[in-house]
Amino acid sequence: MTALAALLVALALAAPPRAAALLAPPGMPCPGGRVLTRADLEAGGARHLRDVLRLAGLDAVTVDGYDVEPVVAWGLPSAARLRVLVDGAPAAAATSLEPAGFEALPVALGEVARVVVCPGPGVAGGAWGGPWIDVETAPPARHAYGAVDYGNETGDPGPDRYLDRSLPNVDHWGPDAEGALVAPWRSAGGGAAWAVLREHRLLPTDTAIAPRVFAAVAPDRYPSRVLRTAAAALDAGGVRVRAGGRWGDDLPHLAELGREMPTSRRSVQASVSAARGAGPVALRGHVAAARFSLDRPAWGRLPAPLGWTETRLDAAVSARAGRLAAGVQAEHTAASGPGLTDGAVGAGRAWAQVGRPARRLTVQASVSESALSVGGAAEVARRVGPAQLRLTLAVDRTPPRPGPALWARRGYAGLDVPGRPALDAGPPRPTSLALARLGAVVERGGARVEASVEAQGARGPILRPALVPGGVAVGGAFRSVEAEGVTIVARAAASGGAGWLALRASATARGALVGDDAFALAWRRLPAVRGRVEATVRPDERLSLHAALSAWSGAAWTGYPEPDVPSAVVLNLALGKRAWGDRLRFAVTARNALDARERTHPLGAVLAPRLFARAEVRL
Amino acid sequence: MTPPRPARRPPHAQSGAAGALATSPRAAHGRRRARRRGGAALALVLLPALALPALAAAQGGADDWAMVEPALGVASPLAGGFGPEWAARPGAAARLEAPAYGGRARLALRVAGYEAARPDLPAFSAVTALAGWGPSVALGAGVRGGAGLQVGAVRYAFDDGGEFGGFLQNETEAAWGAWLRLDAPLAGRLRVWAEAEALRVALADPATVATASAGLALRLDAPAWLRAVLR
Repeated sequence: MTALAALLVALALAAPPRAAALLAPPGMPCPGGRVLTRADLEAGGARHLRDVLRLAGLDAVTVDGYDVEPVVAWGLPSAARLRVLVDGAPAAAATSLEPAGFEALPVALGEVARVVVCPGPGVAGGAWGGPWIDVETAPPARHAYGAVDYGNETGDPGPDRYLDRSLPNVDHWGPDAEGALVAPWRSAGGGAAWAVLREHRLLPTDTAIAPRVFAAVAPDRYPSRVLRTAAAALDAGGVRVRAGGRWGDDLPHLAELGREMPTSRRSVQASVSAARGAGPVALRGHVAAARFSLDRPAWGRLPAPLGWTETRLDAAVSARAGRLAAGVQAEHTAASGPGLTDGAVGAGRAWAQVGRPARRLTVQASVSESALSVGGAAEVARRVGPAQLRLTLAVDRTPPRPGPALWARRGYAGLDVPGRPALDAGPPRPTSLALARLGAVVERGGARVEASVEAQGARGPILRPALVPGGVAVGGAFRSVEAEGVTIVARAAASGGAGWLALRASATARGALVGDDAFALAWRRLPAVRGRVEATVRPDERLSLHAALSAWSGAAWTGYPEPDVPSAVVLNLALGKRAWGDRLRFAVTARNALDARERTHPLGAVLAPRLFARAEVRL
Repeated sequence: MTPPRPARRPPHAQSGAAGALATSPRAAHGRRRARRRGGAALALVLLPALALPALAAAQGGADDWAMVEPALGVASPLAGGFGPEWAARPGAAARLEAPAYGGRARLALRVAGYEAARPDLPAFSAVTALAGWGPSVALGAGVRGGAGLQVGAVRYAFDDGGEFGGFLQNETEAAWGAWLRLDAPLAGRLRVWAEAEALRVALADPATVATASAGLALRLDAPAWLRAVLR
């Protein structure tokens, strides 16, 4: 690690000063990233926040089609969480017990101005680290905005398709809705305040899920996820204030339990972020706080007491002046629940960066209860013929992140079900990563071709199912084991088009090169090959037509009762039409129109063809 | 979307209403193949439905949304559908059409009833809502022919009242298909029309429903405000 750090410094200092920056698309704050504008989301038929992950082409896993959790291959797949930001400040989607489903953000789709997806490493949310996604919001309309969707969330082709004949029929079609009120005002810097409200529903009764969820809820109640979210935002003079809450009856799938958990949920969160210039110095900072509570609902039948509360605080400040930048960030989590002896976890980070994007060195030191670690990256760029090349070398060491394994080790018994073996958390282990990535970009006219290859060496903990006799994951225990190895990832993407046509194709191939069994197992959970081709046609300013064909290879979740997750070729289609100026918009969206076997988790639903109609009004 | 949870399906229903729209049980792989064919058919319908307006956009012009044509009529399910266990009754059809993107865009609504031929099966009604687009051509003497593709959903409401276990209640399915129509002037702005339609419904075992319908349509100039809204 020390040698690699020395190499980073040497490379950064040895790079020629004329090295050109690896150009990013306009407005792209990171190399190799992707920007999805509101127009992209609309043309792609987005109707939920989770659609952002699909349109961005990210790896994601879902059990019921509602919680779609991005899989971050930063060292070890799923060992790290994607850093999720809203307007540059950390946003809390869920507690540390649950999947970090994108849908849980207190943001309405209609207020999303653009989404920035960055592969990392880089500085975001006040800290340096791996991949992140930043949801940038803006007032969704001048005064009011509303949207109603009607469709079948996970597909629902008729009686007996999804439900075993011993189970009741459930119609999966229904409405989701969101709305906003906006109060714009004119002042020196302009600004607006707005409030959004959304309600989303899901019936997690796919054949793969139904036996678990029907057994977990009272017999006179349908198993459902009905969640409401409210948020308010204020944007004025470079200061953004957001506050949000989420509440409702929920049935999240908890990976460490291998089953859905009936939950009564409440959460509130708030953040203040600001960017100011003070002479040659640009300052940024944020303060964010979130509090969650999860309780066992009256309609739940599982004996687990749950009883979880979690409070998170995050604050950061950074300054940039010319070629120098530095910042500090601190976070603290305080949790309580049955049996939990110590619910506090905290970490502090300080980072410094010198150089420009063409030649940049970043170092970060972080301290937590369990470890002091140092990480950083060196990035150098050079033009070779028509191509712009960029080399990134990075090392990172992250402390154990709060999660069921950590909390179980500290005594938390809120998820314990009598008769079910306890989670074997093992000792807390950090995750170490060394990364080398070479990327190239060629731009000609409106066309852009990108390619990169990277090697990642990693050591850290992963969870393996240790199933009880009988071999079913439900009720089986998981154990934390250490994995170590090296993997290779290759990516390529090309985009271009004319004014009325936009085309994009992308592909990713990856796999463990060397490593132990646990390391290979972790990577086999991701498709080794993934590709996507998409086209958007805009015959005029008011009509958009979008088709995206995605394909991925099969995956294997060794240890699960049915470990194989199939390969699939999925076709998504969308048609959008604006009317009455831009005040009305209608959209029809078809997902999985080829009726592929769309499944990403061995315990998860097979997402059948889905059809949605959406109407939006912006006044 | 969240109706009261009914009791578990009683055994007697398994071969009755359980088979209502799923028809007879089949081997899983056979059902799977049928659904794959259904998916391919959906793609075949939707891809042109997306591409054709794009190609036709260049032909669109001043006539777009210049006229609206509400239509009412009777509809009668034809062969196919749900087998001999149910007898289809004539229903009603309503439609709203307007010229758009070189063809005609339309919204269509149809209601039909199905009576059970056996006492152990529930009667049901089907409400079909569709949106579509297709070209329209003048055939001479004021007669016009049209065809197109459409996509939407069918909602089945079962008259089980708890008698059949209370488990079916209702079911909504995606549907897609094509239509073929002739219409001719009758008097002034009034036109008479006849249409044949085939619809593929994404039931557990996909079903194709053919329908014939006929009625009257009124051709109206779209008011300026409506044109402004639709454009």
